[in-house]
Amino acid sequence: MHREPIQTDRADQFFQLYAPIQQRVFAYILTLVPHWADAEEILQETCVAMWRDFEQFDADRADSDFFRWASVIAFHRVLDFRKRQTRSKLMFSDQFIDAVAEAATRHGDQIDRRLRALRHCLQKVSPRDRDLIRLRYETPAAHGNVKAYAESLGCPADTLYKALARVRRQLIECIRLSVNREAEA
Amino acid sequence: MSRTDSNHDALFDLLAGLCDGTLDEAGRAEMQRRIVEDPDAAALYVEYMHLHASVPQHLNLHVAAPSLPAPSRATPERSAHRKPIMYALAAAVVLIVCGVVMVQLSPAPVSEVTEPAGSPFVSIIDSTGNLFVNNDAGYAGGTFGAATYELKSGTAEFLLAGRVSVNLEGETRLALHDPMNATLSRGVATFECPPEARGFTVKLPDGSHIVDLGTKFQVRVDAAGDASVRVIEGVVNCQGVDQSWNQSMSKGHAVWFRHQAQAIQAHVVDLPDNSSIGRLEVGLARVDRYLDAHVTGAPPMLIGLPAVVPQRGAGSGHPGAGYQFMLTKPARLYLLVHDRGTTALDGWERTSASSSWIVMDRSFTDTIYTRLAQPGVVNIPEHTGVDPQGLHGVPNVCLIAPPSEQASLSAAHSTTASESSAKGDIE
Repeated sequence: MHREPIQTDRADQFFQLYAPIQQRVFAYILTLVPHWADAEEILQETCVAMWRDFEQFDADRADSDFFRWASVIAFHRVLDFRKRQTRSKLMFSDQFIDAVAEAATRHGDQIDRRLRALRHCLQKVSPRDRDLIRLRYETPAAHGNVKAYAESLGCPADTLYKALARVRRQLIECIRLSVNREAEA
Repeated sequence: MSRTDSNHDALFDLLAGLCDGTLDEAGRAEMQRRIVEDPDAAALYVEYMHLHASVPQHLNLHVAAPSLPAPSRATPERSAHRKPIMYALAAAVVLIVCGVVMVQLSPAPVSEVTEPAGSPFVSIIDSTGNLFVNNDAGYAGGTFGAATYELKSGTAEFLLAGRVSVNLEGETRLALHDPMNATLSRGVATFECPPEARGFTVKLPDGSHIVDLGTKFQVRVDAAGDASVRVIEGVVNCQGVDQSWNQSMSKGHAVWFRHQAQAIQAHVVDLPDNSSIGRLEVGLARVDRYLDAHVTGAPPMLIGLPAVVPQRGAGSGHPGAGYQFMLTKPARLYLLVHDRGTTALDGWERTSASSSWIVMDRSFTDTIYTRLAQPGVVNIPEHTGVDPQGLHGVPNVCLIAPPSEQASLSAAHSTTASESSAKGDIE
């Protein structure tokens, strides 16, 4: 295989920058396209576009922020995706996208604190609730195995969906509390 | 109103339905309506979707290593763990790049890491970007000693042995000499000092000092070495390198330093919470933390001036938020006013100059207004202009200049990054 050291270094640099932010980029995309499989597809397209345009990103510039750069590219991939999907799927409105993108940016500085808090809060939920969450997110794009699990328990799937909603709300409350405590500490 | 109150009970149910694929078309329309009309609902939506996106990773990581594998310190960019991947990348198979990074996010054993020499007093609590300690990789959970800590992007959080908490943002270079002394030569760092760390000192590139007196404060140093300090809580004392300037600053106070000035000259203002500070330059945020909005051109004579950059406020469906700050000395103010509809600006003189900015590849312009201001409260009006689509203008950015500054601005004199020139000091 032909190897080009410069290309390797560039790829290495890309990896170093991209790996730490991938989760945040995915979260950003999922807020704009709240369908897991679609968001994963857009993430891949975003990554490809970032790599293709990586020479345009100047990490040495004073205002360089790789996540910001990535989120602008992701936003455009989302717009492209929406153009492709307009005829085949019912979409959220442009106003919705604008409102969400604005909120995502306004609250973007809290993402890292929330992620730290989530780690802590997941440990605080009951084992039963954690198992339920794990079941749901084992295959997130397919909405987990909630229905099959409900059948095995002999209970309506709706009961488990309500339990999931309750656990998520508990996590939201816990994260807010943790972030506020961190801010006040 | 709290987002957790009963008004949002229904929204919580809708969001759960969205995430679990049980939301019907009526529910989708109702959720959309709420989010478009209510910024709090939009914020809750973002909060909820971040949780939804992040749970899978944390279900694995909260019982194992909570971060990416730490590279070997000896060869941080060439760890044995990643080398084959990097060679694959060298083949320029772009999809592999993206696929590989996906794999890397899975839990994996943390590499063995050798600590640097010297007594460790810095614990790295978290890092979302590329962090280097004396040019070797830094990593969350590690403890290090006196060194230069260089963040390439993202954020990093440290806790010093003296219990000082340090947060770095973006490209930042901070030398930590001991638990009570640091030098910030580039970037943005926020220091939170408990009472026992009173006296914690941050040195600036020109030798000026910021001495903590029990507080939380943010220091920003730009590429030219110019610095600004903002006190978030408590009190600090700012000292010029030759003691020619010495100023106690308390909550809300901000000061701008000019690198290589004959003496430290500054202008202390009392700022609202929902604003940031900086200097006007290409790349400056046009609206604080808003869709990467940043300045792309401005009249050369204004480049380098201290700038107050407010947050967006309630959103484009509402007027750009007004704000107040306190001037301690007379000043000439310049106001960058978004060209969107018409907005009332009593007492401000319109100039022929303009500046430009961009957000999400969409370009906008500002018209520049000016006025003299005396010490005391300055009211920056809200932007009430509306475009035909019903979108309001963004808040006005205020620049602060010496009162002797005479506006002779021309629209033909916009500048770019390469043309930027330093601006005279304020005093």
